Formats: sequence, C-alpha cells, structure tokens
Amino acid sequence: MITIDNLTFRYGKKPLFDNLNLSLKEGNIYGLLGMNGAGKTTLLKVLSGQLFRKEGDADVLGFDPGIRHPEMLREIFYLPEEFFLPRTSVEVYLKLYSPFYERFNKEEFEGYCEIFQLDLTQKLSDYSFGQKKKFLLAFGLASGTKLLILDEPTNGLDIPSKSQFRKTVASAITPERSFLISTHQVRDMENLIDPIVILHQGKVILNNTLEEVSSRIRMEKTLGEPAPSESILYSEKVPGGYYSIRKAASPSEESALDLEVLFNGVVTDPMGIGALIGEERA
Amino acid sequence: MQYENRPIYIQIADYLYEMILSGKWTDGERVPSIREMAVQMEVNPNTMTRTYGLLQEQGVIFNKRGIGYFAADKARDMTLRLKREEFIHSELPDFFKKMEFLGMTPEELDELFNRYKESNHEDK
Amino acid sequence: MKNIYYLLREEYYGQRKKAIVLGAVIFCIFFLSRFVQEISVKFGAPGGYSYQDSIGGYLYVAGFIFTSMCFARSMHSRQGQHNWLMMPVFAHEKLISKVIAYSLVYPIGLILFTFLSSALTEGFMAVIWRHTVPLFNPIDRTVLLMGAHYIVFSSLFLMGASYFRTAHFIKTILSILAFAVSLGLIMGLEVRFAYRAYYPSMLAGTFHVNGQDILIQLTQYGWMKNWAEPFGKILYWVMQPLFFWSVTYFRIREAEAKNAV
Repeated sequence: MITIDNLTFRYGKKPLFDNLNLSLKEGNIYGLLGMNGAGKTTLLKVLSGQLFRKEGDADVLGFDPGIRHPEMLREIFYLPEEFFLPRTSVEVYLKLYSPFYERFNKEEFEGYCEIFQLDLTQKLSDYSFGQKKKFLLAFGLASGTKLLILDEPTNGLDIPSKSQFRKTVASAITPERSFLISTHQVRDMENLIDPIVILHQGKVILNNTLEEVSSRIRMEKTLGEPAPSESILYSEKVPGGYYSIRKAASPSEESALDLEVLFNGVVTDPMGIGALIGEERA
Repeated sequence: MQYENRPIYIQIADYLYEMILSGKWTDGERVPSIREMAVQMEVNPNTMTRTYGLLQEQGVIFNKRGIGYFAADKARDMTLRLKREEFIHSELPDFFKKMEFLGMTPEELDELFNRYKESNHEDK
Repeated sequence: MKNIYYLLREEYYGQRKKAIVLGAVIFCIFFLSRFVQEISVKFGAPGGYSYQDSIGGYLYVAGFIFTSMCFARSMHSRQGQHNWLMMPVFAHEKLISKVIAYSLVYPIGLILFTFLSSALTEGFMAVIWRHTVPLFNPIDRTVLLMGAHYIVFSSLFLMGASYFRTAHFIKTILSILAFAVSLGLIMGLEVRFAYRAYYPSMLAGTFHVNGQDILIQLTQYGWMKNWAEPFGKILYWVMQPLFFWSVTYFRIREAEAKNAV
C-alpha cells in the first residue's frame, strides 16, 4: 500500500531523511517509533502529500503523494498531533466533511462516539482536547479510508479513553485497511501495534512483525547484571533488575517482548540488533 | 510483579484455556470471533489470529468455514490434559528440586495435600 | 462538480456570519442616511438621494478585503492547513470554488441585496415620511459594468490572497501601487524617449502631450487602429483574470505544510 525508495528530505540544508526506504502492507497496525526529532511527523506529512520530497520514489495507494490526487486523499484519514475543529455542531461538521469520503458510515460513527462517550449534541468548540481527539478519531474510523495515519493518538487521552482507543482500533482494522500510528507512548500501544517501524538518523532501521522480532531475539529479565558474552546484544537496568536482549538460539525460542527495551536496543545498536532482525531468512 | 517471559500470544492462549476450564466456553459451542476477542483484550487482531491458530492446532477449537470458531466436543478434557502436561513439564521439576533441597518426602506431601483438601471442604 | 459544491457549502458555513454583518451594516446605513436625509429635507435642505452611487464602496472595498482573506484560515494557517491540504479535491476545484464564491456569488449577491435593502428602506420611508426616492436599479448599465470590473479585479486580489501569507490585502494594494508606479515611470521615460525632440533633456523640463495628438499619430498606423483597442480589451477582460487565476492555481498546488504562519 505504501512503498518508498531512497527518499531524501531536508529542511533547509539539514538533511532529515537520507535514502530512506519503507514498505507498508494492508491489514496491519504499524507502530512508528523514533526519538524526538527523528522525523516521524515529517515522514507522515511526506506520505500524505503535505510535504514534497526532494528525491526518491514514493507510491502511496497507487499515487505519487506529492500530486495530492483526490483519489489518494479520499483513502487517507490523518489525525495530526495538533488539530483544529471549526465552531460548528457535530451535525454540521458531518454534513460538511463526510461527503468527501464516499464510504463514510454514520451508524459506525455514532457507534464509535458511544464507545468514546461523546455527547453529540454539544458544540465541537465546547469539547475538551481529549474529546475533540476522540471525535476526530470516530470520524476517521467511520470514514472508511484505507489508510489511517494517527500522530500520537493517545496524547491527552485519559486512562479509560486509552483503553477505548485500543478497542476501537482493534475493531476497525480490516484486511484492506492499515493504520500507521506514530507514538512515544509505547505502553499505551503495547500488544496493539505490530509490525514495528523504527525511524532513526534518517533511515528506517527496523520494519518487522513482532513474530519476526521474537524469533530472532530473546528478551530476559535477570536480577543481576548479565555477564558480558557474545550472545548478549544489549542490556539495560530496569527497576528490580536488568533487561537483556540475546540472540535467539532457534526461531521457536520465543519470549515476551518489551517494546521500550526493543526500541532502546535497536537504536543503540542499529547495525547489530536491527540488522539481525531485519535480515532475510535463508 | 512477576515477569512472564512468554510471548503475548501464549499468554492470551492461557486466558482462553481459562475460559474453557471455567466453563465460560462450553464444549461444542460457538466461541467469540478473532475480532471480538481482539477487541475485548485490546490486542492486535494478528496476535489473536496466532493464538486461535495455536488452539486450532491443538484441536481445542475448530473453524467452520463461513460460520466461525467452535470449541471442540472435548475441549475441556483436552485443555485439562494440556495444562496437566504443562504443569508436569514446566512446574513440577522446580517443585521437586525444592522438595529435595528441603528434604521433604512424598509421604509428607501426601499428608499436607489431604489436610489442604479437608480445610477447603470445610470452607465450603 | 460535486466536490465544488461541497467546497462552496463549507465556504458558506465559514463566511455566513461575515455576510450577515455586512448585510446588516448596509441596511442600517441605507436606513439611517435616508431617515436623516428626509429630516433635512423637512428643514429645507435640498433633496435628492440616489442608491446607485452607494454600491461601489461595499462592492470593491469589502469584496477585495474578503477576497484577500480567503486563504488566511486555510492554506496559510497553522491550524487550518491540515484540513485544507488533506481535503480530497483537486487544486483546480479549490480554485474554482473560491472564484465562484468571491468573484461571482459575492458581487451578484451584493447587488441583489442592495436592491432588496433599498426596497425595504423605501417601504419604511413610505410609511414614515410618505415620500420615497427611486429604488436601486440592479440592472443599470453602470452597476453591471462595476460588477464586471469587480470580477476582473478580484482575480488579482485572489492571487494576492494566495501569494501573501500575512497582511494579504495591504500587501496586494502596495504591490499594485508599486507596479503602477514602476509602469508609470517606464512609460514616462518611454514617452520622453519617443518624443525626445520636444524635450530639452531626458530628465528635465516638461512637455504637455495632447492625447488627441497621440491618437492622431497612432491612427496613422492602420494596424494599430484596428488592433490596439480589441487587444487592450482582451488583455484586460480575459488575459488578466486568466493569468491571475493561473498563478493562484499554482500557489494552491505548491502549498506545503511548512509554509503556514
């Protein structure tokens, strides 16, 4: 659904992406992770045609995103980190904006709003930040687009809303649809995002399913610091002991994964862990 | 908190075994779809697909094309057998090791177990 | 076509408050000025009031200001830009909807509204003073010509609106002034050059060129006589708006997320 080859992008003279490659398929909830300033939002904006790439090829749902073809935009719903809602009622908002999305389903929309406990008789400008976000999410999920881009969707949501968010995303995914969720709040998304895409220093250094990850590496928590050995790829101190990443002895030796530790490990040692997970199976 | 070093799809499978053993999922009856379970547990449907695949492989549930998933006719027995095997293989060795270390005998254990059962019955 | 309708509907919901305010202002001014005028006539002031003269100010000034602002809350705004860029429509549909809203619906609506306001005001005047003046004539030749000039000029303000990210109206006006002044300077120098025989020097001295004289000179060239006027008309009525709309179109296509203010 999305293929990017050798993407280069700069703000001014400072290059942000340098020969970045990325391929995303239908039917997945991708988690886009990266440090502050790694360019997650910029990447999302390039993919959705809001920023133009300098070099490289990009194909988003069969279109060059820079052209901003309506057929492509009709299939993308993008919830930005900061958003703006007009001072209208819910009814007027739906009347004005839902016709742009042919498959928009009002019953679905109302269903999501019920899950999110939104009062549809209120004015949009009277909603709190979290309610506005949930309103837009409900609108996007009901719009039937093939691609949903969510930038830090759980920021500003209260604890029950985070759970509602996970439920709705899990229920909204279909084989034709994909989510691309950028986040720092890995804990909010654990068990929801899969595959994991890690953006670091201008490149995608990991784009793998959790099954692929856990068949290549093994995570362990030990009380004492693990003795340095060749099989230990990374270790860090956590409350109550140490987390370490080892090379998996065999693909069947799967372990639980901690996304934060995985992220730290891959970012610390992209050539080691990232390459080990990403390499093609013989 | 105890760290469960098993992949999430296995942890979910444990939860589903629990549903069967506790009788919430009954033998031969229809069980929730992959999507319904994924929503309920707030996990990626791909993960739930893996869990269902595992249970299907073990014969605990089966898929009727176009209708959905059903618990096997002997789902409870099978699950019990699976859990017993798991207990024998993964928990008993540690337990025996500790017994040996503490110098306990099977006779002592027998008596303790009987007493445990009695007190449990009295509670009821 | 459907998309243009949806865009226009969105525009309507965004602008209707402004339109209502403008309408109320026009009606109040009509009503008050007519009321005061009728009183002054009673005190012996000379009568006479024409609605025909009043339209220009609202049409041009308010219209150009509205047009100048038409991308301010979407294309150029940090808040509104996301929706603007993600809207599943072609750039030309965005352009056409703005042209329809600001260059057609606005002048036609304003002319009709002025007529209705004058009718309403005179209705009140008839009741209050038992004296009325002729209503605003919306199909008067001057009014129609004003409307036509408005359409042409609003294309220029639409371009200014798309080109400048802030202070769109002022910057457009200043640009027009700068353009006019430089064009005037060039033309002035050219005239001095063409008629250099009549001037004491290139920069000093004055020479009064009689328009009639120039026309007589020009008509000596047959092709100019036949072509200059139609060419000028096509340039003004057709090429000018087409050029400004094209520039606006490319600005809409090129707009990126990083340009907002």
